[in-house]
Amino acid sequence: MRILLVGGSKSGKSMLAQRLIKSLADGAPMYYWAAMEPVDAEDGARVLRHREEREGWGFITVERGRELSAQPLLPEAAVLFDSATALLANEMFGALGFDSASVERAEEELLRLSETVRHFVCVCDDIQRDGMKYEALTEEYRRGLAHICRGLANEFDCVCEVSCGVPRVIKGELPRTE
Amino acid sequence: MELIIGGAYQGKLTYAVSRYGFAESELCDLKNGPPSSDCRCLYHLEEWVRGNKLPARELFDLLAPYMGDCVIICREVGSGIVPLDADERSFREECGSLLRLLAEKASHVTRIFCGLPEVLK
Repeated sequence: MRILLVGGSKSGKSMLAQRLIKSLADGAPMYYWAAMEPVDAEDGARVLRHREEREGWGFITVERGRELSAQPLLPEAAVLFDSATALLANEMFGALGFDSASVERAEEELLRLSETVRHFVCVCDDIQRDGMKYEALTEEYRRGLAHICRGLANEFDCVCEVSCGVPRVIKGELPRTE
Repeated sequence: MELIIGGAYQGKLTYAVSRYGFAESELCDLKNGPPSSDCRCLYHLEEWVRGNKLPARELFDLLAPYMGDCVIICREVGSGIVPLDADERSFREECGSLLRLLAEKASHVTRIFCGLPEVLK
């Protein structure tokens, strides 16, 4: 089963994703795929907090922010991908500067990855509803991330908007969690 | 009239066109100015609000010819920090107020999220 969770900052997407993956895996291997490439102390603290939040859950952690297909995975596994937001940031604003092919590439990579394992839950930030006008590259990023979310939403079995840790189902049905 | 709202780049216009099969000539991008009389689908309403700087009630009255068999599409713009700039502030407020007036009048209100429609009314 493939699920997309979209929500604002600290809306409880990752924790909900953990519960869903645990339930879906049903004993099979679980991966926590951290796509953010930490660049400063604040990122480092975020990584530590997420690690603490999944301690004792039995996740295998993957830290990879680009070239997703290079990662070996067990086909029966359940993968929590955190997050499309981070993946696109890495791909769009890499060492060589702005990459206009990054949106299609990131979407393709995510879709292919989601097909190689049994269960896949992807987390994405909602950054589209504030009415601000940003400079061109930031707008490209916003447009790109929305494009990826629409692509995943179209393919995936279930799509939810998350607020305060509570999912609102927009498409499909959520599996039961404990 | 059906009102379609949603965040930026959510696929609002794509949804409207695929659902109602509008011809190119029936689409009006309000970014480029006021709608023509043969228009059946008005989009970028938020840009029209931003450009007009009129109170919501007056904007609503200007849209009177499009209350029949039409679709009006607007971006949700009210969920961020209140801007420092006075014009930006009033744009968001008038846009929100206008959407409430339109939603009241609309036979259907649909919100698009990641390309997926959600019926609000």
